[in-house]
Amino acid sequence: MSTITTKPEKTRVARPSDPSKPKPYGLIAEFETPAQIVKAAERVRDEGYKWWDCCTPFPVHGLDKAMGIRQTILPIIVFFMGLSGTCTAFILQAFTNASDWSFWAVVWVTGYPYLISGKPLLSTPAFIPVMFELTILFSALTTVGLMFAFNGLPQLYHPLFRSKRFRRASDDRFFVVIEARDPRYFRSRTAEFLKSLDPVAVEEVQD
Amino acid sequence: MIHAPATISLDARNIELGATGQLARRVCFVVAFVCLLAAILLPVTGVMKWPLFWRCWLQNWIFVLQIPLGALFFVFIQHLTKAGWSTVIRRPAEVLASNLNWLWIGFIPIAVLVLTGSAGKLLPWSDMAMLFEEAPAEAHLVEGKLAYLNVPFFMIRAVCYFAIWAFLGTWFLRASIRQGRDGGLASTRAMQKMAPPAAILFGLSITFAAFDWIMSLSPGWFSTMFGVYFFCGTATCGFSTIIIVCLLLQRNGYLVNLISREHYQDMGKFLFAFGMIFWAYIGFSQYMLIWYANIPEETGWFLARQLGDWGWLSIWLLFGHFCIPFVFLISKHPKRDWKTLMLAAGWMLFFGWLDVYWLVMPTIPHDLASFATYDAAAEAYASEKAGLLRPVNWLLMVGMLSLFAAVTIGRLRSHPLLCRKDPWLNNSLHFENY
Amino acid sequence: MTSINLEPGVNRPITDNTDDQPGVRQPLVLNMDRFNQVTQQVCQVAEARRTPMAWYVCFAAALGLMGLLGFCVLYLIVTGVGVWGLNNPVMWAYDITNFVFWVGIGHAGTLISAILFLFRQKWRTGINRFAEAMTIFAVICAGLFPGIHVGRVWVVYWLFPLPNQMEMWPQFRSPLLWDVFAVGTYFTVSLLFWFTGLVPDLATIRDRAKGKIQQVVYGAFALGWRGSNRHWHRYERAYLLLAALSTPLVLSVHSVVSFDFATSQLPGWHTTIFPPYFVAGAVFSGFAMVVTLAVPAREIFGLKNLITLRHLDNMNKVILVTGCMVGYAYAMEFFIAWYSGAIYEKFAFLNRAFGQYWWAYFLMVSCNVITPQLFWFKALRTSIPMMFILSLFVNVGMWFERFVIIVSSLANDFLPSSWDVFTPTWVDIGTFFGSFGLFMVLFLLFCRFVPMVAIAEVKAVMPQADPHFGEDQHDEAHESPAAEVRS
Repeated sequence: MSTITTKPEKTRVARPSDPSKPKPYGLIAEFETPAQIVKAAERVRDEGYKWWDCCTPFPVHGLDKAMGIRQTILPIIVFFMGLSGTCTAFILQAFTNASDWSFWAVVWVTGYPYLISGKPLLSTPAFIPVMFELTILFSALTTVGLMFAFNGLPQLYHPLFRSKRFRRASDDRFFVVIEARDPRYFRSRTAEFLKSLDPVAVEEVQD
Repeated sequence: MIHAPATISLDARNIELGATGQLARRVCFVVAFVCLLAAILLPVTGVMKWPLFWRCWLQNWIFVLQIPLGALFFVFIQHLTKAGWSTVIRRPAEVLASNLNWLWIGFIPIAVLVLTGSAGKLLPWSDMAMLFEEAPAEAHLVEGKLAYLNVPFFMIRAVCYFAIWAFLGTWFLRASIRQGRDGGLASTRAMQKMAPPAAILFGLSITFAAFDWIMSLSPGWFSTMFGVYFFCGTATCGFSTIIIVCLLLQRNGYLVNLISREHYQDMGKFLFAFGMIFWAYIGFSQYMLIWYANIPEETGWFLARQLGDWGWLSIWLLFGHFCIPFVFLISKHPKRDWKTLMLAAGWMLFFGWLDVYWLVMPTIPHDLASFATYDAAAEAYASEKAGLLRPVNWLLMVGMLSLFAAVTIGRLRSHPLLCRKDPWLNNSLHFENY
Repeated sequence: MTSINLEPGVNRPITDNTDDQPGVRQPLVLNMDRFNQVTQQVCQVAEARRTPMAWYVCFAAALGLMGLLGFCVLYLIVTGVGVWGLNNPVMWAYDITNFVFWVGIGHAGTLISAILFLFRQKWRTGINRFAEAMTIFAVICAGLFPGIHVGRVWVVYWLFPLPNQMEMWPQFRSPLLWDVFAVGTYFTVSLLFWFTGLVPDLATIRDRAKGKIQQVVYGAFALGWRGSNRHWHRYERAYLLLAALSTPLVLSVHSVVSFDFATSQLPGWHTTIFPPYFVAGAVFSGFAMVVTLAVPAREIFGLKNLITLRHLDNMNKVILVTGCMVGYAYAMEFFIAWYSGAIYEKFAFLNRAFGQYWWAYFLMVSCNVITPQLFWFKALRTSIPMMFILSLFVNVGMWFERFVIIVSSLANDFLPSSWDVFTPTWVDIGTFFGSFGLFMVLFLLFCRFVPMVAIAEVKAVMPQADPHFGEDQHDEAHESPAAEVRS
């Protein structure tokens, strides 16, 4: 079903290492279904490529395993950031409402021991709601911040955006991307390999 | 055909206990008999007083009762939400829930005490003359509640709870077995239809049961949240026991490859969510609101749980029921490994027991109101004993749990261990977490 | 596991997917079997060159109401809180009622995106974007009221623990301060959740955009998302974590709101069931608002294939369940008020039902407990006009619930000599209705410019998204629910 419509004018032209000419970023192969991309990913992984990726419009079930992606350590960091949120909130409340200490934090700050409604100065039960909220706040900010940071986002420009074909990666097509910096990358051989995966098309992308 | 990996076997050797388990059942019966007999001998021979014995009896009986109640909740919530993942573990839960049709036996001694008017030490409202003598102020307050707290109505309510529970517990097991025999959709649909009324009946019955059997032990005290708190206890004990039963079955070579790590992870999540987080949420809200408003009628109940040993026990409960298992079970890995999950479930079952102990055993000293400050009260009652190490606690707990286990094993033997023709079975076998 | 959406040769579009056969999951995306169709259907609203006339009409009306809000708030600030109908015992009335009302509505979004995600309810994908946006706008409306209630609006930053020359700190034992942290955290986390979910969809619009402005604007907000699976991996983890964090957060926010009342000693306010009861009520009112908005939106923007009858049916079931929980809480409050033996408690509840605000209590019980019982019947649950009317009832009932709790308890407290009656002024009423203007303005802008349905998430729950899709179709056709036992 998949007719290879590789653009010959792009793949045939040799690219000498001339700095004035654009360097190749890599090759992309386009697939139509989740099943195809999973099979293709397994092949690419087994071939031993390191600098490669799959780009899909939604997370495809089982693709992580097919690509051999290691579990992210995000949850562990988030756990400890949450814990630090709990401690921050407790210290903040104990310092401001139950102590009369002073210390320098950009400006001099001094605690004020409030005695209100007959509660003990260190009213732990009353401090728990804020401790909980800051735990969640710290964890959530860490989760989202680190997720984007680990992903190298925001990165408003990317060579793949040059390709008109690639725009469908956010719609209904599934792409395998092999980067030129991969030690196993040889343009013609990698292109042949990608074609053997039975894609709709294979295309070279310039950096 | 069921689309199952070739390793999955639905033949009788995997899903029917058959003759095995006979030994375990006998051992359980013997242990139960020995322990219960030894426990009863304690007051008979005068080692301990009868009122304390009956309080321990009530505590352990409520603990055991929580297990099938939690299992019943698990069963009907699956039908209510048309869950697919849980089919492979539903039968053990159904069998556990069916125990509700005989556990009322444990209530008979309490009923006899109440009916003969000798339960004044346990349920003070049942003997108003004594209450007026010992604590006139409280008695005055309790007098206004006698339209609810009186012996005939108390007995009628108890009969209603047992009727509802026995009906629901056995109905779901029977319907499920019928479905397993004929494989038709009619039984499944009937169970789905029964789930919403079951949820309503369950919610109301456990709420008022908690009021009757736990809250009314201190008849002056009240909390609108109490039914929800009791529900957390049933969920903790029920879910822990379902996990333990499934793991034990698998360790003994049944349901092999049918219940997978994925299902255990989900059960672990259930235990984590209801047994730890929801319990802590409800417990904290109840405590904090009463602590904050500081109204004498309400604080006495918590004050009694802070005097002497009880203060330590309360802190232990907080750490053991929430903090420690929370950190232990938060990651998915301990939920997916049978050893760690077994440990967590056993731990939670024990703390479910301790929670009931904390609810039932302390009594509010009648002279609390006469102290000028909290510290004065705390000092006067500094030597208050929690009595956790009393042999009767352990004899009754082991005895009642063993009896429960013996009957459960017997029922597990007489039915297949799997809802093997359930329409969701396929779904359940292919279930994966994300 | 699901059957195929479009059988060849059948041209009539499927509209009803509410049938429940045990063992079969109904499709959640109707009449579409290609991912591109989903993209097209959702994006066409945001991409349309011309805005429909109906949108302008609604937007003008909403702007008008928002103007009313602006005027009332300005009048309040320059004149003082005396322009409201508050009096000595009733020092909280419309403003706090509106605050709790809007925060409550703001609970459905995170519930749908977080709790239903943890429960693997795939139908959430059709409505979560929409509900999350509603959450954020509702929390904005909610935040307004305590802000203007403090009186001296210009020192509202005293709510935060900022070092100042007076060496003065907020009082952390006050539930009102917990509110600041709870609502602030809730707003931040909801926004993060919403934005995280939006990024892949904004990338979709960016990649389809024809105009330069659209490309730049959507491109900037999409952060350069390119659908890399290495990114998706961390994205999915983060999404799961956010869901796990938001679930207790949702519980906590309305619990903390309930603490504002329950930590006091006021009869009718001080009751331990308040936290879970307020949460159930919040979910109840939030889902009602989602139904109120989803019913016209799916009609106007042509999203019937994505927000199907099944989605609405499920939401109505949630309304029924939470309505019963609220009913349970009402009953417990009443019972324990009697059981407590405290004369003030008993009076507070009798006064609610038969006192001067009996009509508000009657409205509350009939709209929150009685009329939702109609949802026991599937015919009513799946009837569009019926669910629209009932959801409006719930919105009204839940507003009155907060009004009854706040005003009736304050107006008649311990000491009869200090009792008084609260009557709203035109500023009270104007501010309340004006807040709907603010809400609708934000919501209409959202509908026009942001993908209203989570495109990537909907695609991921289509049967075609499963890498094994189509492999065992033949078997499935013959699969009987009564499966054979394999020996």
